Amino acid sequence: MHASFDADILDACRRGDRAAFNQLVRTYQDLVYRTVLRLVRDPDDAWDIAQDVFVRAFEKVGDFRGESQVSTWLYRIAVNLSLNHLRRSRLRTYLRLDEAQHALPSDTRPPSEELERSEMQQLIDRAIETLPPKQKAVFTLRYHEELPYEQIAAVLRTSVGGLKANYHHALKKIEIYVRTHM
Amino acid sequence: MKEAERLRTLFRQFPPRQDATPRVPDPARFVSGVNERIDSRRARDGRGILAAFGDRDAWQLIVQRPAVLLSGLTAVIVLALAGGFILNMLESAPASDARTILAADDLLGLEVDMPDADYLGELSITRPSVLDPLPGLDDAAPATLTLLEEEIDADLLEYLTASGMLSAGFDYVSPYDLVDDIPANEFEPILASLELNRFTHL
Repeated sequence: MHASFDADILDACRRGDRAAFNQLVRTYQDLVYRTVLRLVRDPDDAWDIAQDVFVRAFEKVGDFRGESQVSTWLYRIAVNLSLNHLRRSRLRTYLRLDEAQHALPSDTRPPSEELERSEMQQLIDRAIETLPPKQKAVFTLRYHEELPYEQIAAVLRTSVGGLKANYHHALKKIEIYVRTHM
Repeated sequence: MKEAERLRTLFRQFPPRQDATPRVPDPARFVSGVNERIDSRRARDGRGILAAFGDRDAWQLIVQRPAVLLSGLTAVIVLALAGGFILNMLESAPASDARTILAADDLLGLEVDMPDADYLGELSITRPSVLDPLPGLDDAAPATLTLLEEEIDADLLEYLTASGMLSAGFDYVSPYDLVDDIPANEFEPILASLELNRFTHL
C-alpha cells in the first residue's frame, strides 16, 4: 500500500473521521482476516478476531506514530489477538484433556478441496497445526505472507536473530512431522 | 548450513497456494460489524462522556460557573484520595491471590541466585521445585534467552531448571490474558498441571 495513502488515511482516522477509518478497514480487511484465519483456523473465530483487530486499531490509532507501515501495525495486532485466542483455547483444551475437539481443519474440509491439495501440502498444513502458537505465527508470516524477516521482527517485536532461530525451530519440527507421517 | 538449505528446498517445493488465499467472506458486513463493535464499546466504557471534555463549550460552562468548577475539583480530590487508599490496600494485601501474576519484565529481571521468594509468593505456587534459583539462565546463549522471552520450546528444557521453566511458562501462557476468564480456584490447578507436564503440551 502506498505510504502517502496510509499517512493521509491515518491522519483522518486520528481526527475521528469514521469514513476514513472504514476505508482503512476495507483496504486491510483481507490481510487481517487471512492472517488470523491461518492462525486460529476457525472461520467464525477469525471473523470475530479480525473485527476486534480493527476495533483495537480504531482505539489506538492516536498512539500509532507511523514509524512502521500500517500493515505491520495491523499484522502485530492481528497476531497478538490470535495468539491470545490460541493460548486460551489450548489451555482449556489441555485442561479438559479433550484433544478430540481440536480436530485438524484439513480433516473437515470438503472432499473436493481435499482432493485438490497435494498429499505433501496437506501434511505440511497438519505439521503447521502442531507448532506452538508463536512459532506458528512466525511461520505463517514467513511462509504464507512471505514477509521479510525485518518486517516480521517489527510485527512480533523481536530481534531478527531470535526470529530466525524461531523460524528454524519451526522448520525442524515440521520436517520431523512430515518425515514421521510420510 | 546443509540442514537449513535442505529445509528451504523442501518449502520451495511446496509453496503456499496463492489461489487459496482466504478473503473476508462478506466485506460490507465486516465493515459494518467493526463499526457496531466500536459503537457498542464506546457506549459501554463511557468514552462518549469523556469526549465531552474535549468540547470547548463544555469547558466554558465549567469555568464560567465557579460552583461547577468547585464541585468538579472536589470530586477529583475525593477520587484521588480514594484511589490512593485502594492502592495502599492492594500493596499491603497478602500475596496469596493466584490472580497476582509475575510479569514478563519481572522474569527477565531474575538473575542467578537472586532470592525469588517474593516473586514466587506473588505466584502463589508452593511446589518445592520452584524454590530453586535459576542457574543456567544467565549462562544460556543470547538466542536462547530471546526464545525464552517468547515461548517455551522443547529445545530449551535442557537449559533450564524447573523454576526456570515455571517462570518462562508463566510468560508463555500470558496469565494476564487468563485471569479475566478463569476463576482463581481453577487457575492454580492449571499452573500445577503446566509445571507437572513441563509445558511441552503447549
